[in-house]
Amino acid sequence: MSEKVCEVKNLTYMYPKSDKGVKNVSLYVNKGSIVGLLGESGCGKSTLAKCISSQLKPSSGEIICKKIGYVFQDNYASLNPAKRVGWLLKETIRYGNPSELPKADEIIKKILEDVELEENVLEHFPDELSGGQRQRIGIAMALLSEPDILIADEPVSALDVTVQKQVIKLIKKLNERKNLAILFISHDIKVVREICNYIYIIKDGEVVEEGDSEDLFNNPSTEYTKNLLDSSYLETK
Amino acid sequence: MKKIKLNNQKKIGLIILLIMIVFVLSGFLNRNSFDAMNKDLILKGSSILHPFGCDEFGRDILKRTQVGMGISVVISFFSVVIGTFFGTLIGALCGYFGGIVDDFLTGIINVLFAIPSLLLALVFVSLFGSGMVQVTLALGIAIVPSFAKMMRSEFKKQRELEYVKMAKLLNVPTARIIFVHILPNVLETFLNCVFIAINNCILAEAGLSFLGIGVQPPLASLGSLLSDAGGYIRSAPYMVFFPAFTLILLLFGIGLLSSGESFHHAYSKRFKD
Repeated sequence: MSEKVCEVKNLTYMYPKSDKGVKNVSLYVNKGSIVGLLGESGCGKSTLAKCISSQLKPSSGEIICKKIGYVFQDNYASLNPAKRVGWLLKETIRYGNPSELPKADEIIKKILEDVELEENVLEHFPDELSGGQRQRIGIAMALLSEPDILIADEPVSALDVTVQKQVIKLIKKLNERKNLAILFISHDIKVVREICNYIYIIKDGEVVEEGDSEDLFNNPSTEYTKNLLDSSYLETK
Repeated sequence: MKKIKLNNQKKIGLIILLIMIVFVLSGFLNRNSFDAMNKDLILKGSSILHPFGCDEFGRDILKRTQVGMGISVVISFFSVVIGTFFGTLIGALCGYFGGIVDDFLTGIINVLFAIPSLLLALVFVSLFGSGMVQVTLALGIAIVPSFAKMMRSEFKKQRELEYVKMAKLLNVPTARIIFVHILPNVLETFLNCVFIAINNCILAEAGLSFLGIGVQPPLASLGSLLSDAGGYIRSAPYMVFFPAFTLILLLFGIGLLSSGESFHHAYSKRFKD
């Protein structure tokens, strides 16, 4: 049986003065697997991710997770625009993995190879890089703290299709090479199908269906999942 | 730090400011004393030895303008240092933390804000006496509220951005997030506020000295020079013209530095995806 790197039990979080949030959600992520959270915009996927990563404090439930790395959706806002990429990566090591600080230059060189970037990006400011490069830097920063699980919150939704493919390929490669668990959040069915081994379908803050990727796509059991898949089919057509 | 590229307006402003600095520093080469009286030179117009003419006591107006401007700039500089330090600190704390901290500090700032800055300075000077130190402190306190308000709104915007959330996730200490991560991103507003504040301080100091509650004789400031020259505007207009002209030029130069294209856009080079 695979080792669980993250488990969420009966998690509930409701936004103040609103009926939006997540209700009684349970899920787990095994080492080396890519788990997808799929649902329409505003269904509570990101809220769940924020609760797991301690950005929001849930009102009830239990979260047992090992070290988390987080990749934000907005690759522009998630990188400090006033600092060079080299500084950003070093700062991540300084606080995310302080024992490795003396070897920071070496580690940064290695991580840039992992995310397929040239060393010259270190001298650039984030706004001098392309969207794809910025997202790779975001992934590199998340990896520098040597996480057991990477939460990727819509990491490709702000990118164009070609760059999307490159970043997805990179995430897959990192998963295989480092046996890294990934919680992949997206509203894009095609992307989730391509990358995830196991999928949770979320509707109005609740898990309505879960299962192995291909099983779920071939035999959806709820009406909501069927409609979701149909909408994706129509899009493709 | 990003290299700052200045637009034309700011370049002109900087050139004017450099000329003003050279003008003040060249006062050290001026052998005339700023307070030495000479009855033979009373109300004498421009000459080679006294290009700006002499005042009602026969003192060299060029030397007094150089000294006066130096004093005005020094007072304004230190006032702005005091104002920016406390204003930025209070604004940063209010904007970053929000909640009770924000309510409490904003309450104090709003009370200070309701009092006109010149009036606040007048009260301060009348309580603690007039003089360079008192005027500097009074003007410094007077600009804290406006600085705090500007910085508060900037920090409030920045704290919602994901790079700040990222820093929090990494457990970066709060003080470091505020001063190392966020502050460089509000530099644009900060610098513009600094130049506006310097301008306001120079004007306020001139106003206080004009009213006779700023810098005291025998020291001079641009305000006191204008005040002294008031009675001779018909008989010796140069006594008003030269100090007034340098004051206007100085304010114009600093004004140009705080206007036009923002500093941020001046140095931000954005590549399209």
